[in-house]
Amino acid sequence: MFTTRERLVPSPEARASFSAFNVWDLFARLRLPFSLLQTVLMLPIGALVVVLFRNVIGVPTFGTFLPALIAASAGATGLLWGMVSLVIVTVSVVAARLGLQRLQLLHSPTLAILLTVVVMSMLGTSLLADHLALEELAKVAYFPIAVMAITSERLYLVLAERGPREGMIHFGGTMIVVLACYLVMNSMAMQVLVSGFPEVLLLVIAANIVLGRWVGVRLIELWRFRRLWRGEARA
Amino acid sequence: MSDVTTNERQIGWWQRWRAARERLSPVFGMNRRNVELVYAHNERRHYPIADDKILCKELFAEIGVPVAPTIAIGRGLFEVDAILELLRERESFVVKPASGSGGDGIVVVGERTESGWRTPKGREIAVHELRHHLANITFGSFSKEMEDRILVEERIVPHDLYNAFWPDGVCDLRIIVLRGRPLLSMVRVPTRRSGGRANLHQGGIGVAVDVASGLTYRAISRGELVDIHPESGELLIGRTLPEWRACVEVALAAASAVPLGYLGVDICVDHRWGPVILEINARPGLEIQNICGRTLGEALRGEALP
Repeated sequence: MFTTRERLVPSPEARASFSAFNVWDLFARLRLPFSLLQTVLMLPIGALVVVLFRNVIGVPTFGTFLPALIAASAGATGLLWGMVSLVIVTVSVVAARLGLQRLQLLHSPTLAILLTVVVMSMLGTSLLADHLALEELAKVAYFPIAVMAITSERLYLVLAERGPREGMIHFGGTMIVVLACYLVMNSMAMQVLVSGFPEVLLLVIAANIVLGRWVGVRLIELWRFRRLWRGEARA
Repeated sequence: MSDVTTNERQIGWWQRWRAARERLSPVFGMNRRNVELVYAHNERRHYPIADDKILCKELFAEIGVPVAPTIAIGRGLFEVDAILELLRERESFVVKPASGSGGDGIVVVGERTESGWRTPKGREIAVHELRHHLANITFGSFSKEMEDRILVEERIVPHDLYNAFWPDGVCDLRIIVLRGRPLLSMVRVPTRRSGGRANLHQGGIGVAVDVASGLTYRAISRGELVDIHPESGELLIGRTLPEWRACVEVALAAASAVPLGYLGVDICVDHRWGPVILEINARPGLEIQNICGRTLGEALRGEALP
């Protein structure tokens, strides 16, 4: 306790980080923004939320990290604009796929075109919003394009391999999980807990090990296999 | 008095809950399938074997597991014209991408015409259209990779019973095998809705088969129990599948030919050749439990059918 006082920590929040690995100090010395530290520390928490949704509830999503990444990006722009960006990406990917399907192009060029289309529609939306003086909507251009690029690739693969129905189910699942990740990753309690005590991340690993060996029936599978356990309709 | 009824009601509720839990415990969900069956018995590096139809056929041929006779294998675009030359005089054949899944890219040809061929459903395929399709296979249009190989096989003519179930497509028989033990089996019957494919999620009908006897005992179409095929009108349950013993033996032999402990073996019974392997799957789906009305847990414990 006394040593912390003598070390001249920069902010009162940083004092809360009296922990084994003092990441606060590190970020202060490297002059990295505090918000970046927050985001980095909250990502594993977001990933844990995704794991819970996928393996315990059974909600399909685009990839494991992606909902957490989208939620983290939405932390900067606000949830609504994150969701709006996601919708824009989805609409442009579906439209691009309709156009590209007939050309039967090879995989990598297709994805490169997809990225271009996504960039164009994000910027296009911003330009249009600016023209119409919708200042808020113009924010979609700020949404991290890297995350949107990965999203579009995943969406395209699901659409191509498993059809439009599955694609939309994955999209809906991703939206729900993004929302949950956003709520958890932006909750003050969680942020204070994780940035004050980064050791919590070890608990996250432990939780993932437990979930990784958990062989229970997923919530959605309770419905899928209802005939097998409800008993009445065992024809 | 009222206290007693409340108590009884509570016990009733609790017992029903316990009974439901008891029945749920042998149900295999995705988590349990992955940990206890797939990861425990199949090494990840061996998954690609199951996905490669040509490699599988070679492994099966080595130990004499019956497969449909191969007409040609094309390893790239440069072989497309040679294959077309070979097929010029053929009346019927089947073209498959070696690594396709879900029946994508499979073309069945039943008849030679002046300008090309005709499928069993009556669609005309000109020579240039087949060339285009073969080229697309080599470009990997039907697989997850950037390129693929072409497999041309003789066309299977299903045994009479399967033909009666559905004459316009191939019914396939799936047997789930774990370390030399057949666990569950079903026949997937195509419908008009499934576009002639037997996949359940595309609208095919699942028919449960008793592994011990080869007798069909239950059929499910779109989640509903049915007795007859809603389109062909054929009785689906209470039928004994032809050459059942041979089918199980062929499935076990196929399983022993590959380094996988848990797999789904897809078989078709040809009226000339008997059972032949269509393909194998290293991660067979769980819907078979719903079709059979029997969980993988019960099948593993070797419990008799209810």
